[in-house]
Amino acid sequence: MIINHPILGPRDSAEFTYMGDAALLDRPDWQAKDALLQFIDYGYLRDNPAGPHTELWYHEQGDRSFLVITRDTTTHEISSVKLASDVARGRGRSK
Amino acid sequence: MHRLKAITALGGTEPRVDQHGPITLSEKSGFALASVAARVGGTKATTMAIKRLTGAPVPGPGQTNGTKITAFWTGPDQWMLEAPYNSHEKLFEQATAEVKGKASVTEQSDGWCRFDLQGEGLSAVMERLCAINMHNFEAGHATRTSIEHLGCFVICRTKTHISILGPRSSAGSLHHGLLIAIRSAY
Amino acid sequence: MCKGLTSATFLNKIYCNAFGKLAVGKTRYGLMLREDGIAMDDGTAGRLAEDHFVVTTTTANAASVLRHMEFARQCLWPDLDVQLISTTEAWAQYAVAGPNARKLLEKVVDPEFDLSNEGFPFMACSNIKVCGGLRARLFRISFSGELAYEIAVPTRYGDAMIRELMQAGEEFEVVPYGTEALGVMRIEKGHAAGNELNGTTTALNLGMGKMVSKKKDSIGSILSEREGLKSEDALKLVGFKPVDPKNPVPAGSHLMTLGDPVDAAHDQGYVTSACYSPSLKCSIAIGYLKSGDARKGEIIRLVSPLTGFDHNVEVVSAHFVDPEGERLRA
Repeated sequence: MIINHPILGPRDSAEFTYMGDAALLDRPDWQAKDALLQFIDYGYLRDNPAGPHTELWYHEQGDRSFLVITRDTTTHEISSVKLASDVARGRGRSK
Repeated sequence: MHRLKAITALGGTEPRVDQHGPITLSEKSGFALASVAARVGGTKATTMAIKRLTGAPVPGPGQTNGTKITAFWTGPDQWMLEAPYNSHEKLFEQATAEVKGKASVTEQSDGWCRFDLQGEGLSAVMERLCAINMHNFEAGHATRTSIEHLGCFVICRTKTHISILGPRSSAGSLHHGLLIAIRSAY
Repeated sequence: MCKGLTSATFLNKIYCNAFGKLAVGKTRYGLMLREDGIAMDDGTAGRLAEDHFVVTTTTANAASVLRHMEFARQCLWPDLDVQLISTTEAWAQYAVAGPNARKLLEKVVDPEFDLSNEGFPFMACSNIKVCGGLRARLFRISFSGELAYEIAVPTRYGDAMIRELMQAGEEFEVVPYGTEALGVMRIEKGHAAGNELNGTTTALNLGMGKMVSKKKDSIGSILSEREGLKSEDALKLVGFKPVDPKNPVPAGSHLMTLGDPVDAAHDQGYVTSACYSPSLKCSIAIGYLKSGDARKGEIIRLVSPLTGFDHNVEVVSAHFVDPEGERLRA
């Protein structure tokens, strides 16, 4: 599988480490009233789609960027690759 | 001057050189390294500092640039500086002074071993070692990839001269892997 | 290596215990939790400057801890000012341990650096020079339980440095010690290692429940509060000594209350690490026992159906040797 790194261009997937569902970016607020329940959902509940799945890949043997990749789990076709730090900022994770 | 004697990454007092077919494989020990990572809001100041240190534009992703001190891109807002050890043992201090707190600088001189491959027909060797597309890997290109399961920087100095920087404590394994690839190709 | 203007804030999120106020020149033990509240790794972080920490991990976990920290840096807190790079390969680091450790180091460290107990106390760290001007780092930390230091030099000088240390130590009868000896000493001290941080245990199980700061947001803090992880009879790390000193206390054995049937329903815990202790002249072990901290002095039954062991052991503190840590601070 080839991953089209947003900075480095196409790279062999062997350089990457799969890091799971990109929902891991949405870490709950530790001070929320129902923080424990939110963290249980965050820690344990995952969608398991047959089709497009948004997930984290770590370019461990490359530039150490975390990427958010949308990959079709039935075909391995990759439709989107973004830097995870950009996605995290976009989801309000600044500060 | 302190009284301790250095050894090379392969454990010798002098760097090892191997010759096979058209390729020379040389262990290099005389280089200093310092990593430079821009701090938040410090990208511009960091790139200016690298420009002053290398006398050349800051290298973009996948690139290397410079003369006496060279820099190569290692990640978003991160570079590695490389220079001859004898003249630049204090590369880390020099870079720290130059970035004026706008970047984190880390001494890396002893973190890496370096092997240089020189000769005609390097592509045949490199294609056995890693996934780099050798057809457009040219002078001034530098990238990190996996060689023998080790994260290595590969720097193209000229079409007939490639440097490979790998983790120092795996120098023996990396050297073995490189030799095997050369012998396989020629 | 962890640098940046908010590196202390970042480490406060990575470690469950507090790091924000660690003084420059000091080292602290830190426990990292996974987000599910299970202990992931432990080690020390030394603060060499306001914006510069040296983070150490269990050797085998170095790559996975860096991966975890990069995840936190890029995905969870992308705008903290923190930069990470591995310096594992850049330094050759030696532990110098034992009552004469300071005297030995004074022969190697350049004289302008004060190694006295006042000048460089337990848990101090500093950039120093050795052997007439070579840059080096010194940490006064101890896994062995002895008066101990860890000294780091650039890797190319590692070979020369160990020869220098052995020569300087000749008058103190210095010997190289390996991980087997270290493994015995850390069990005598009740220090957790991989056998205890086995992917099922929490800070509470390790006897470090109070270390998990509730005044800050750190990875794993919230989920470590789950009911099932905080039950009244939770496993606690304790020590075991055989009632008959001739008996071993093998790792992997299970523990039963005297008189109870030997079955899974009555299982009280298990032994994680065992050794023959030269200091106590008998086999000792550490392991997890239900409500273990409240059962010191109790005689329990150790069984190992696989190897046929079945005898009684006494529940004791996991700190077999120098429980007050006087040697460390000498």
